[in-house]
Amino acid sequence: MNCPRCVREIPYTALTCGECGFSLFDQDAQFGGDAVSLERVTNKAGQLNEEEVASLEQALDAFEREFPQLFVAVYSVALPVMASVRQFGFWLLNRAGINGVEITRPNENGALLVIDETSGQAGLVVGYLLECYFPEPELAEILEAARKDWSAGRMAAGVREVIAEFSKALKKKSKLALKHPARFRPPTTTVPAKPEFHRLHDMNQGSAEEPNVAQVAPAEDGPTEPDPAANSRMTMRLKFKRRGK
Amino acid sequence: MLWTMADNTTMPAEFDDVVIEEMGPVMPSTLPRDASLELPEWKPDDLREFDENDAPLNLGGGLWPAQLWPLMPVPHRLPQTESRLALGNLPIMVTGDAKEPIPPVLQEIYFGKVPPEGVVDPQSLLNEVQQEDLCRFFDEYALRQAGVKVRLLVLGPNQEVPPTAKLQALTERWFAHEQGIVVVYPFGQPKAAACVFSPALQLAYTLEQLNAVREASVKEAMFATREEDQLSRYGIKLAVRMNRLHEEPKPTPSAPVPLAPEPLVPWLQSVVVVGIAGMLVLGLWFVRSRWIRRPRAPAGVETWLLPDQEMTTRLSAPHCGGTMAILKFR
Repeated sequence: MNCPRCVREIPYTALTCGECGFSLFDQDAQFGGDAVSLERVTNKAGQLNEEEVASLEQALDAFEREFPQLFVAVYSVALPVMASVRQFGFWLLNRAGINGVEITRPNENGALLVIDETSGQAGLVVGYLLECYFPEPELAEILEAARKDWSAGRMAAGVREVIAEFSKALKKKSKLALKHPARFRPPTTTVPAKPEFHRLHDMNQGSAEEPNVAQVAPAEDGPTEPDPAANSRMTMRLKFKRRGK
Repeated sequence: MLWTMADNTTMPAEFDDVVIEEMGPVMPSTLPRDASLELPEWKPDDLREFDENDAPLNLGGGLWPAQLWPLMPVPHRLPQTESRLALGNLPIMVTGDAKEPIPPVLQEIYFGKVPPEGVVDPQSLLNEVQQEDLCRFFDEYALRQAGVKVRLLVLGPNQEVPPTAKLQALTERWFAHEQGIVVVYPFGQPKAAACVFSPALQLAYTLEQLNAVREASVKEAMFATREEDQLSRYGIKLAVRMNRLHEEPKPTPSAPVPLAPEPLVPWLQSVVVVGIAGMLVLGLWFVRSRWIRRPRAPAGVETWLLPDQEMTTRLSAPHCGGTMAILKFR
């Protein structure tokens, strides 16, 4: 998890970036604190004609039929030169109210594709639900599917490619999540107080001492992000010990 | 004293003073003096007979010709078939050795009204028991079981069928609407027997089947040497074969053969083929359209759901924590 501004790693539950102090309020100061109303396909930069917008709407409809929890919105804009696509996307998904999206699909269940005509960049930002399934490298792979079309100026085709890739990846994640739900759980707020090898030593010695778990707090030497995989392994071992007792 | 030998030859005069007790037929002498007798030679008639008639010589059941064995009954020479006259579509045989005419009284018995019994033997060539046996056999196997009336006319060995007695007409007169067989059997000459089948019988069975019956009867008779036995075997075989013929499934040659359907004219064949092909295409199209329009599951059925997660916020953002990928495409 990286800060949208300084791109440093931040803890999962950090209220602000430990490095630069970034939070949503900083973006509110830049772009506005009020909610903004968007269409599912917003063509502010004029990169899409009406037919392309209509075809994208159809593609988004199909996506929403397949994924009743989720939605995808497309925002084509020409940002000011100094504006960052990363920060703008972060702010927009948090402050936007998207027309035509049911109330059962909150923004944390959505994905927003921002295409900046000015900088020639595109960003795919996902809500809290989807970030459990899509780490940033996988999102980058999905965006890569549109590079060829976008480089050639075929913006709508690139968007369709992104939607298709995103849909395909979501189906795989959905299957995996049904089989292994623990694999996609968000990082818990509990981290072991001791290093792992100490805990294993105590368990082998038959110690009745409960594992000392504490609230995750920002480390003194900087923000750290807990390893989800290690966390799941630890949870399993804790269960094992409780049964043994 | 004059002795008459079995072959009607007289004893030589030099043996007149020899007293020979009467002891019945004697065997030919085998004294050494007979060795001086000249051996018989083939006569031209014999050689011609061999050339023209290659039938085996009937030795009467022994190894020696009957002339050299007077005790054995003299085998009759099988009559040579001179002609086969077709009556209707059936052949009958008329012996060529028949010379004696049948007396008119007997002609009336033979060829007059329908005889009441199966065996017509006014000359008593068979004894009463043999006649009765054959009659019972005809009544049981041929008439009662097979529905075929048999009339066996037993003629003398050399009697001739009068020309006025046309056997085919006679058979049609006797058995106009029923199955019947008229057999004219010269006593002792089974090969010369004439076997005529009624029209109803000819309709019921094929010509090959009826000829097979006749030939089997003649062949059966030829196994015997005595005239009475030949006649008995002939009649029994005739009745048995007719009985078996009745038991077999009939080919019903007179039944109308179902005609094969007339071939369609070429253009009609084409129309039929095109029609069938069109119906197939329509059927496939119908199935395809039904498949396309099949009731599908609602749009929401094939959906993909993600497990709900317990989410926490960060960076003071309510919906998105900044997980994002950036691509620079230009």
